[in-house]
Amino acid sequence: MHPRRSIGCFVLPALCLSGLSGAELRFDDRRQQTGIDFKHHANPTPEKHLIETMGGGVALFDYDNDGFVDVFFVNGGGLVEKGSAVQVDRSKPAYFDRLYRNLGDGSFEDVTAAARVSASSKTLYGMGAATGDYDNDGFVDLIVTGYGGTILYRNRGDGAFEDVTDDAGVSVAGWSAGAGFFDADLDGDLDLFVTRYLDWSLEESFRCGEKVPVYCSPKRYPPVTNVLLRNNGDGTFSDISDASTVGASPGKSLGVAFNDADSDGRADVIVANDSTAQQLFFNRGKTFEEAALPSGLAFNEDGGSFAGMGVDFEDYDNDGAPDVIITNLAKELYALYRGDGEGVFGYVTRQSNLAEITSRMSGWGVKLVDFDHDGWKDLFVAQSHVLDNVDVMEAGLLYRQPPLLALNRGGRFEDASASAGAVFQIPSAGRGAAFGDLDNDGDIDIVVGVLDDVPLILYSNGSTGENHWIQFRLVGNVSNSAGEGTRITIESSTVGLQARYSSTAGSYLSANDPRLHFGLGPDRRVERITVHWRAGAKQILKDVEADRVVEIEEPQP
Amino acid sequence: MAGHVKRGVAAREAGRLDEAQRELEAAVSGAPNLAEAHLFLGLVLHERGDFAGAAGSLTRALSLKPELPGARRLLGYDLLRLGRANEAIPQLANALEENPNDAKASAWLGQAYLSAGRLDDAIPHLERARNASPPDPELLYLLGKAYSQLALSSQAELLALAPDSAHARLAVAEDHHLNGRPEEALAAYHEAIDRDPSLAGIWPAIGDIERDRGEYEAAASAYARGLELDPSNQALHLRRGEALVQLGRSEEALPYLETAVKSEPVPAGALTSLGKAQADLDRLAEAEVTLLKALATTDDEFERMGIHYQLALVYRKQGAPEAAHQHLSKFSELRKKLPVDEE
Repeated sequence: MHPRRSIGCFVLPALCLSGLSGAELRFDDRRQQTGIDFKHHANPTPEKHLIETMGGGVALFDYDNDGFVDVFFVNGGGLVEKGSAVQVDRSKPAYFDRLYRNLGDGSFEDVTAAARVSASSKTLYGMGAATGDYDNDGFVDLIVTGYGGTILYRNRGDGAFEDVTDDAGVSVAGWSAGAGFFDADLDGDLDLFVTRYLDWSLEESFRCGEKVPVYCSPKRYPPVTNVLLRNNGDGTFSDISDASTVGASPGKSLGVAFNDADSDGRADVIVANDSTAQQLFFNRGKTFEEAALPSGLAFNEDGGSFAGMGVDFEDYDNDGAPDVIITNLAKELYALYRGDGEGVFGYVTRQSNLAEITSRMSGWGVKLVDFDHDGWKDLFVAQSHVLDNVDVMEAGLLYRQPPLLALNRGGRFEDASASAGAVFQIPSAGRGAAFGDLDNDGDIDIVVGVLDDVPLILYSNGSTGENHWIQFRLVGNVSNSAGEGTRITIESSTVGLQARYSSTAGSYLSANDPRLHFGLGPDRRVERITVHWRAGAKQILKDVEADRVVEIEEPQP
Repeated sequence: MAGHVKRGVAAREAGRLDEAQRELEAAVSGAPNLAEAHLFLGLVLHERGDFAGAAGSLTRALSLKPELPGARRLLGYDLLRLGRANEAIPQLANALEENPNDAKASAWLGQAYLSAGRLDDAIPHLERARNASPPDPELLYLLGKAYSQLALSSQAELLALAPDSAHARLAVAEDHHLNGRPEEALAAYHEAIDRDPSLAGIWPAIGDIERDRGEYEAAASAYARGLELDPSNQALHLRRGEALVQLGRSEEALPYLETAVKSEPVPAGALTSLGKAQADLDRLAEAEVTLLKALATTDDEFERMGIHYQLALVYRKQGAPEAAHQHLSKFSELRKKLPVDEE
């Protein structure tokens, strides 16, 4: 594999000459041009089965190693009455999960059949997806979560995947939601964390609401535990939920993300919980200690819980310490917590202006990404309420909402949605969101899973302005193959210090492009790049030119 | 005939109403002009729930002897039960003249006026009855109904008299606000204020709607406008302060919150909001004092739960982990006790 340069300025130099202020940052929905014809089927029923409103995961990953990220959509499924029971049906093409291969020219090809990832033979009602090369063979693998189980697909490297769920021991019972691959035990391969939502079943599903039927609140159901699966290194996993004590902390879990909250070199796990305390599992080596309450992450600043759904774990204020954002429902305010690098967090939603921006919004997929390349990570949220008839029940609240784009101005956010493109004026039932450079032009594009509808495929113009960028593609040799869990800090003359953590997990039930992206503002060079590999090695690169994808390979032992 | 009456009365007193009715019917049949016979028969029929029969007998009794004590009171009640409010009114009015302290008669008369649509007459009698007797659910219901109807009719009169006036728009706004139509309420409030910028109470109402919508900037501005008209309004100081805190502008919020906590009694939540603002500004010693004071002034467990959490955050910032842990523990205890995670 060889370093790759961005083709943007080479192929379309005119685009690099124009100035681009934050106000001119735009996203265009090019779904029709891409040829992506996926439509999510939630199949909502009058019975209001809760699974109908919760799916919509998306994954961006380069399954064929051609240098372009491909797109995988998780579908819901049909809900068919068989006698007195309701069963999930995935047999019809409309209910297939779908994989689209990025052809590199703005178009995509449906390769679901060849890749064998449709889930057509399953009775799993799909929720989300996670990606990672768990067997370190250089090809990214895929796990799909859902009500009724999980599916682990091993990437064979020949364009097809193999369902190894049972052989690998990765069959997670109940309602799995989010998932993420990460190296929990620092042994160089990827373990797997799977969140589970509720103790709920189709058999016992009932409709709520006295006058108006609504989806039941999660408060009506018992919590369940999350699952930690250790990679045995031989293609199989072992369930260490109890041994690691992850299983000792039940929740109503959805989104999951990883970062090193306390700078001890081990990946910690933040879990977004719906209507109960949020969870932060500190990785203590052999066990995980759930300590969100003392660390300040469990609740909002008034000690109140909220409907945590999507999550990201990134340094938004460039102090080098990871922060956390968790999306939730209207009137709850998206929760932004500023970390100190030692595992303690302060709630800063108000101070960052997110209270004003998000008070009427309900959010799912989320990421802190420097869209305008000014050196500060901005915020994108896929939005929609959870109740499809909330408009009827509460004046001023809407079910479908446009996504949110908020630009980061030195730690305080400004709502830039009004000027960022027509898509930000069009309401939809946004759910999962995956972030990556679809066209390899240096800026970060977004694929939004829309419930029971076609997705949004949003291409950014962020790299067409005066600001510069850099991306890193990691190649692990001692660490896992993609360098998951690696921490990179960069320093440039104007912007200063920035930090990122390598992980494809986060957002809502979705998986992101593994390349690490930074905006550099006016800086044309990065003065210093420090790479802290998961396995312990440290590399320093100096004076690296901007506007390119830099491949960094881990030193051999 | 006297014997029938005597036996009828005795049977009624013994609770043998069938027998009483037979005896008294025999009495009036044999002596149709005997007022007392009709009176007692009316009483028995009333007690048997035959209000129509009772009304007939009592009317006959009073036609024979208008001064029969208690007859008008009872007749008035029976006519009311029969939905003949207009007929009940003079009877009950008369009964009250006989005994002005009769709370029941006052209540019935009020109810009769209410049924007849005479709100101005109904309300004083219902109020008198409320003041003269222990709380009665039906009476309270009737009073509420009377005031509601009065409000509606006044509003209708206002809209007919001056449909484009500031007060008319204000009335419409308040109706929208009360009935959960915040967008319409906002529009009408703004129409009212356009017509008369000096109308009291509008800016606070606008501010409250904006705050509930999550539009904290608009809420803060509205409260500011309210304070221009009413600078000493402590509640407005609190609301503006809280809106500014929500916007992350705690420095600006402080003077408003400090004013709010000077009022007696201190509004609920004011000390907590002040403590939060002080903590935002890293004035931690002050925040600690304020929040401890807040804790001491409320027994509400939900409020105490929130204050313990705030204190834990302050102590953590101060580098006092033990104190932080102590308050987190109390927070957790209350959280487990209170139904915060239940639907």
